[in-house]
Amino acid sequence: MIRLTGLRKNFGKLEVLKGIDLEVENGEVLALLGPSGSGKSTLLRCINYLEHPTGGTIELGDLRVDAVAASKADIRALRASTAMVFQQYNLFKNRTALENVTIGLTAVRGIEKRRAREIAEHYLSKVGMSHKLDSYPRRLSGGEQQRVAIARALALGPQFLLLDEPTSALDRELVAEVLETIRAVAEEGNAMILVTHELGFAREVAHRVVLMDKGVVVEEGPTAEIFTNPKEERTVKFLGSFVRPFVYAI
Amino acid sequence: MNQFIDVGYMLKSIPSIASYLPVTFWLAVASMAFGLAIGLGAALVRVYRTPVVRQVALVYISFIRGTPLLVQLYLVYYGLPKLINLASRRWTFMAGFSVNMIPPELFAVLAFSLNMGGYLAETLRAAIEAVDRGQFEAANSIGLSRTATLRLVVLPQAALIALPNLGNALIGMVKDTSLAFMIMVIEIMGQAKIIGARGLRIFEVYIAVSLIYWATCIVLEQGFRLLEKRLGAFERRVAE
Repeated sequence: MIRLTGLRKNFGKLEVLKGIDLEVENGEVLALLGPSGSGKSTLLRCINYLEHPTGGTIELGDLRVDAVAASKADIRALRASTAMVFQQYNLFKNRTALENVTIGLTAVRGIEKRRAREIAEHYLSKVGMSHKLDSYPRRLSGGEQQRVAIARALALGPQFLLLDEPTSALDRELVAEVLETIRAVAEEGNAMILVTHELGFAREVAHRVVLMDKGVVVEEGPTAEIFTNPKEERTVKFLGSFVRPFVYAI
Repeated sequence: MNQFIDVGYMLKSIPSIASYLPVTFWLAVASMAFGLAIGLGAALVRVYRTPVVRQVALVYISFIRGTPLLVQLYLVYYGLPKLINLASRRWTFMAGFSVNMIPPELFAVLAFSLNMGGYLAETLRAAIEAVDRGQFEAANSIGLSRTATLRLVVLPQAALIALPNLGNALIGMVKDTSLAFMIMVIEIMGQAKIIGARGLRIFEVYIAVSLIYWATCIVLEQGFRLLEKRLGAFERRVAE
């Protein structure tokens, strides 16, 4: 379980997170929605300390980390139980698809090379990338790169998978293959926090939805309830704003 | 003796001058190697903003870039013996040590390395900073330590970015080793001067030595072009 209490983040004078309280159960798929600049990505990045929070606490199982006074060991522990999937994939450019997955296993977990390769091949086949083990990222499409990135994250066996707009940088025709992969991962019971603008997808896979705006949680609840019967005006507005451009696009 | 240029003498002097190429080569390679180590240290100190050491690195880089190499060579050649003498008077374990035991090549390599380090610090810093932020973030997110991040992910990418500049630096170093004769190191330039003075054919030996430098640098240029191609395999979109 992850529990955030009063989590705050300032960039200089700009308050991006204004005291977020949030709980995610083990095995739960949580969708984090909200307009651009609402702080959802920052919140996700604070959980594994890619951004250092300005205040609050992060609890992860028995580990309780005071955001400001976090030690190196705390940060290591948070990173060990989470794994991040980035909008821009961020595969290691000088490593093949296979090496991108094994690198964490050998250099962080200390797993022996041959075993690491087996684990990596297993996860790469899960995301349908078995045929391109020795390809460098430059030779992969965006969708393929993101699938390798998902395999890299899964291989480390994280308690929580953090996905930061995993399909936003992809060409439209590549979005489906990545969403399919994420759906399969979710259906296997992996806990994840998913920041996305794919509302239809969030509605399908998420158990619970949190809607953020301007650095605060506006509304949270079971997915069906938020989508069919939102209580807050800002939620209604946000969900509505997505319907119109979509219709026009068709 | 009155002809404008004695081609025969020039050609004859080439093998004798070229026999000192190993000295030039090792001066340049050793200085490059130590310079890379110093430069990488200074670059990392700057990238990671290590307090205090960073200020020292800044002064060092500024001094190296702001003074001529020949002056730096003299500073090392005349300054280091003074320091050693001072030390041998103060500490007993240094007592039996004499400055005359140090070959001049060592002073040259020391001065050249320090010079190289100052320039490479900037080259390497720029290269490390040119590596995509996302690479650092991904490494952090999977829990790689700082050393592992540098060794496995960042430095290989930075090396490729820095390679053309490193090639230029090595070629520059090969040519700058010609200054070493000023402190009695006999390398190809030194040998050329000696032969030239002996046969009173100064112009011919300078042409000969310039051809040797030129040929060496062409070989190095080609070598770096091949290296860039090899190291850059991961940057290519299509297999060859």
